[in-house]
Amino acid sequence: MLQLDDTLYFSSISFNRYNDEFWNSVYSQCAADGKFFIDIAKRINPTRFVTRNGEWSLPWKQELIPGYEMPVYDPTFSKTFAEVTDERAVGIKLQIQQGKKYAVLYSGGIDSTVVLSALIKNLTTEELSNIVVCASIHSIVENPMFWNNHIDGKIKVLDSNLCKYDDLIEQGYLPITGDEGDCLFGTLFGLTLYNYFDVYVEDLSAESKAYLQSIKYKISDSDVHYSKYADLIIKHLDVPTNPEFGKLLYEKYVRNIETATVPIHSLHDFFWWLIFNVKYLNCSVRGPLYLNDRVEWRTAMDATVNWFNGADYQRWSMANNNNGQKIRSTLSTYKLAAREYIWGLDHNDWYKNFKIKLESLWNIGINQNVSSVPENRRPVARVGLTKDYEMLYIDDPSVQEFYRTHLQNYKIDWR
Amino acid sequence: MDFKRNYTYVYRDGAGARKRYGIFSPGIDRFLLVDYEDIWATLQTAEILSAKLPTMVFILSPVSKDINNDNCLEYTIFNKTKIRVSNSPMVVSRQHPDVNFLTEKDLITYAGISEDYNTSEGQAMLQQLKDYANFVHDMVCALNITEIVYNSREVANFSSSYLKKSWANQFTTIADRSSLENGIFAELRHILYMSSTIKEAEERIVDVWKNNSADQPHIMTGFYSMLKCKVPDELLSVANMKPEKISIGIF
Repeated sequence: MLQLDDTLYFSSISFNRYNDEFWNSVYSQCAADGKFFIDIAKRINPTRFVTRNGEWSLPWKQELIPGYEMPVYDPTFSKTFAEVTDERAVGIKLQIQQGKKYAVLYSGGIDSTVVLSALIKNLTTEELSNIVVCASIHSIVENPMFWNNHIDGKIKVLDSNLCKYDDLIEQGYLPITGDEGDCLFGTLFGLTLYNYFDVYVEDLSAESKAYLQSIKYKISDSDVHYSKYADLIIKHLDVPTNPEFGKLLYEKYVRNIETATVPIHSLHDFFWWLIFNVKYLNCSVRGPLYLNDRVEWRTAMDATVNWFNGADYQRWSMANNNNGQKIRSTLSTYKLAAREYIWGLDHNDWYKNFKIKLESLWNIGINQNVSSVPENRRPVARVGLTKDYEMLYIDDPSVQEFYRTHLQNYKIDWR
Repeated sequence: MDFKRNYTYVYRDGAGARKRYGIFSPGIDRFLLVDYEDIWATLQTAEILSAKLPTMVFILSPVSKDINNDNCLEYTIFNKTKIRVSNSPMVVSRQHPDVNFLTEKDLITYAGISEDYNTSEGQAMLQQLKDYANFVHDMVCALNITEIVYNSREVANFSSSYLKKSWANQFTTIADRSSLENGIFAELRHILYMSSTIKEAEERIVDVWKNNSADQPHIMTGFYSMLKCKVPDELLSVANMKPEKISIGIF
């Protein structure tokens, strides 16, 4: 039974129809500070933030799961994205030579295509026979050329609608996920702001509007500080039910940035930092926690290969802000270093020049049939993990009491 | 490749005037329906009505001004001698519809009620057919728009159009998140195809939504919003059901 002073390894507030009634009832019982915290999930749903660097207060005690710490920032780190990627593939190659088998969770998006490109490039045909591609029809639709040229008839394929993490692990495969790719390059949340830019500036003063339009394409310019875009960021963060929310959340992010040990300059840095820092754990563990019903949580997390979680990838990410490797001016060049790596294998100009970031994971989550799992143990009911790697379910009264009490006692501490 | 866009004459004539589309019954020798918007939906409606009687779709010339959807049961094509399906005269060609152009020369003329139906009983039968045709056409249009607006995420149709069958066969492809073999839209079109009356169709449609909307209530509410009508009372609880078989909002 969960105790109020227990420390969590993972927490989740999610409005997903199954949990809505509970979170709404807690919301009505909270003061403004607790309401603010629940509102985060109304804007960034689900909310599963925990800091790896800098201050980020939570209503409850929570620690980082070992293995997901942020390496020390090294501005002199000089390996290229391609070098780090090839080294990662060689690491897998060595494991295959030791008898390991892997299942690449492939969406056809940029991150998982980097993973597969690296393996195809660095492994022999015999070594590749120890790799399966776990995909769906959406994977082909996202990148039909790659499917035709590099996967079809060459690598064994499994249907991701039928193979969750537990299925793969039980079949002897170690799942490889590229789910942390966004953490290296920046968040979708930022990309949408760039896309809404013109609407957001529309009702600002003529002077502000003119200034912001002049820096519209300087989102990744280290000389244009993210605070210059504060009005837009606040507007982007806002929720309709709470006029103060956007500003409060912006200030919370700023507090985190100002107390962190990694320099944050540009607008793209701002959003990159959110996912590289406070959202990183969610991207790392959501697969084994939410696409798995049978394998023990810790075992599933340990078995999962988070391709981009290597220390060198993270060092690369921290040392390569605002140099065009992550993005230039618009979402068309998002993940440019990764696009170029893929192009080195497939020479597909269309993909390199026109692919955009899609929410591919959604396609897998929504199509998983969970009818064999008791309703109160399904992914939608999972709201946290204890330090003993015990899953917390929303219908458990002690879990409800835990969240209700801590949210009621939460204090805004960054003003 | 140098080409002229002849296909545009499906939509407009040479002067830019908008064309309309008619569903013709070779047996009654009259038009059953005139559509002002969508040749594809008109063809689907004709296909669905072909469970009741043979139908044909004609692209009407804009000069055929007198005919409209209210009076079309009294209008026919004057000269059908050149209208053939393959080698057969249209009237004996086949049950399911084809699409043909009508030009100014293929005069559409007023002919009154078809002689064999010109009794009170016959006219009632025609009116029932006309009402059902109008109903089906509204349902078809709403279903089509609902499908592309509210069910755009599923790729079963996309897959069958553009991907190799051998690729698609490796994966579970679903038409939507209902438990119906061919998806909810195919089921609803089948109901329209097989129902004998509007009342029967309406009841069966509600039944399908009721039993297959838990994981996709937005499709059901979207359908009724396309018809600009209230969600039936018996479906109100479905709109707020918890998901049954899938996980949403977890990523």
